[in-house]
Amino acid sequence: MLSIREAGVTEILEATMSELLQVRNLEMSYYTNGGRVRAVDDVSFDVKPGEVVGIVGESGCGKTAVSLSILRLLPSPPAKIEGGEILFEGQDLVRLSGERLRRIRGDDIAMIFQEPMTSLNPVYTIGNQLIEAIRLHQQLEGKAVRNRAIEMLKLVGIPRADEVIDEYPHRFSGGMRQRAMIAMALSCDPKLLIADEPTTALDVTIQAQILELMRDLKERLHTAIIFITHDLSVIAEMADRVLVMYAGKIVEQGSVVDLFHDPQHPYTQGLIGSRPSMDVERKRLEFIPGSVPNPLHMPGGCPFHPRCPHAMQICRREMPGETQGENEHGVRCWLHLDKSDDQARPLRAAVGAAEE
Amino acid sequence: MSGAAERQPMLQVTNLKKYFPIKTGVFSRTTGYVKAVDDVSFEIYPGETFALVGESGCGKSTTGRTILRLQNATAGQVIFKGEDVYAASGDRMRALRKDMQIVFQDPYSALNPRMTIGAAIREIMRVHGIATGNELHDKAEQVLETCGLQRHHASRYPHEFSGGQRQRVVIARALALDPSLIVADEPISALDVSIQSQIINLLEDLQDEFDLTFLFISHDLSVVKHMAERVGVMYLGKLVEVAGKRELYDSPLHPYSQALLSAIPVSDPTRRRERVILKGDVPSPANPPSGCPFHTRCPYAMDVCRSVVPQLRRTDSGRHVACHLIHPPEQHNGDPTTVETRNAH
Repeated sequence: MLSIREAGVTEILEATMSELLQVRNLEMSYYTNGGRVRAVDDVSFDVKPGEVVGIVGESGCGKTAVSLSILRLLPSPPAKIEGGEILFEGQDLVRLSGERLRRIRGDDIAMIFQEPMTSLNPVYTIGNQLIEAIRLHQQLEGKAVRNRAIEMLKLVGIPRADEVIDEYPHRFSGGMRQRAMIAMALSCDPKLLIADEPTTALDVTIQAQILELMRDLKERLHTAIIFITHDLSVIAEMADRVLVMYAGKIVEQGSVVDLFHDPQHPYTQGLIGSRPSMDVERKRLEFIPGSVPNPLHMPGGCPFHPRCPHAMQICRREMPGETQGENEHGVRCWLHLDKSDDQARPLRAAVGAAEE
Repeated sequence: MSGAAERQPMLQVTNLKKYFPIKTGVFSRTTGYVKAVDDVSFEIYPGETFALVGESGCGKSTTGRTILRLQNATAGQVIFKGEDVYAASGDRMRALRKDMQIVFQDPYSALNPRMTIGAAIREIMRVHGIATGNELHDKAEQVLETCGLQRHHASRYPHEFSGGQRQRVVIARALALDPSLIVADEPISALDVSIQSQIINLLEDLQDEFDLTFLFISHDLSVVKHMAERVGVMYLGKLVEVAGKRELYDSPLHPYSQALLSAIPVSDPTRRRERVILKGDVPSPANPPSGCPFHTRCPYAMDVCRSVVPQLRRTDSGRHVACHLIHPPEQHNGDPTTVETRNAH
């Protein structure tokens, strides 16, 4: 794909018009004592302005690593971005200097995390922390800054915002803290919000409040959101498009409707089938045998082949490329690619339930 | 209700209370109580799965632990197979515990890291006099096999297993004593999504094979819908509704049950649920609201809700609800009333 140097001006313009963020062949590894862990492996996707892109996968699949790479928040070492491009409005974030990057963080791209208490400083009031963020990124002075902070707290539905602003984070409940985090993230009108498991630590009724709030803010402010979660139902409610990650790779991506109604990858099918549904009663749940592989000992070929009910000879040797279906529904699976009869021989006769 | 109603309950919990004192100051004076479980009554019939659902801090785990006397209750009665658990002596209690086992949420902390899983299972079997000598080894391996592991796994340490396998070990250890009641406290919450259904299927298989009774404690309403026959909904230490699964999920009566069920995200992007979004947060259990604990967030709260605590009462259809809307306070001493026609959503 285009990088700034190679592409002509018109191409850059075209790209920035339609896509807010373009991630191209991103590679990121952690160098640990145990060896190299390829946390993000050849990941490419786009985010359009105002769109909600969901990233779903189990723990260790690399979904958080992708989001931290976008903001370059990963400590290096052990983390290292080894290839690819992250084009935000045409600028490659991977090659941006510290100063320019700081302008983009907070101003243009903001992030909220799973556990709001660890993202808030316990010795400063909520107001202090909000005001600091606003002062750093916006041309506001004196009373106006505080007013803007109160306005933001009101926007995210915190009652008595003008009093609460002077309270410390420990006085807030989990839901209120997450609202405060969202207020902080949105205080500088970012074009892209990265939400990493924003409701996982919350109870269902509070989760419903926060999801409602995020939907509402998206409509009103037209912020694009990358929504990361392991919860498929939350993805179904929030996302316009979905990326399914497994072992650092995107194995399937498509519109939320296509993905839930016509999942193509055996992993996606397994994930959807293994959740008890509120609407359909099933006698027995489907399951994916085995467990997520140890990142230090990734299986060769397609990383899902040891657990895949359709695994073939070729799956053990080679990672398939992406096949594009209708409506930008992409999948990386040998079932959807041409292969010789020999390559298509099943890897095993039948898959047992043993978890080894 | 199912045919369970005619049978004798296996477990009967009556007015169970567990208060934790709040101590402050230099002299640790008790200045108040956290009413973690406040006047909870229900029964579980042999062979059924009874689920307790609710949000964090509602007291569902404490209820499970006080039933097994892992924590002593402040007041109330627990009758297990006709025997008063709180009247049992130390020896007798040990014998009772053999018959009621617990599976905890986190399989990482529930196993001793310095003990092979075989040794862990053999120890509990030896303590309870299930077997001795070689028979002990054989039985331990057998129970691992029943839970989907392999015999040679007995010589391995917990760290050699994945989370899902560890939860199988914990279940095997509970099963080794051949209990009739298993309290499963969030048994799948710490596991990866793709592993959860393996454990759910295992629990269901074991229930069929060994005729087990489950008290299933969970915050995950979809899993509860799959597993349970009857469900109790808890809020701030109190049971607000007890009903058969189908009745509860089709037409919840208590406003909190309605909001809780409507808050679950739907895993179908083309469908949108009418949603009751509750205002505010769960109040602190150290300082619960007066009257009905839910009145501060209830969309239908009336004056009476602020002052009078609604009791869990039976409706005509055999469900139990604690709500003044369903049982208006004036009619308390008369026959149970039915206001079930009220529109749920």
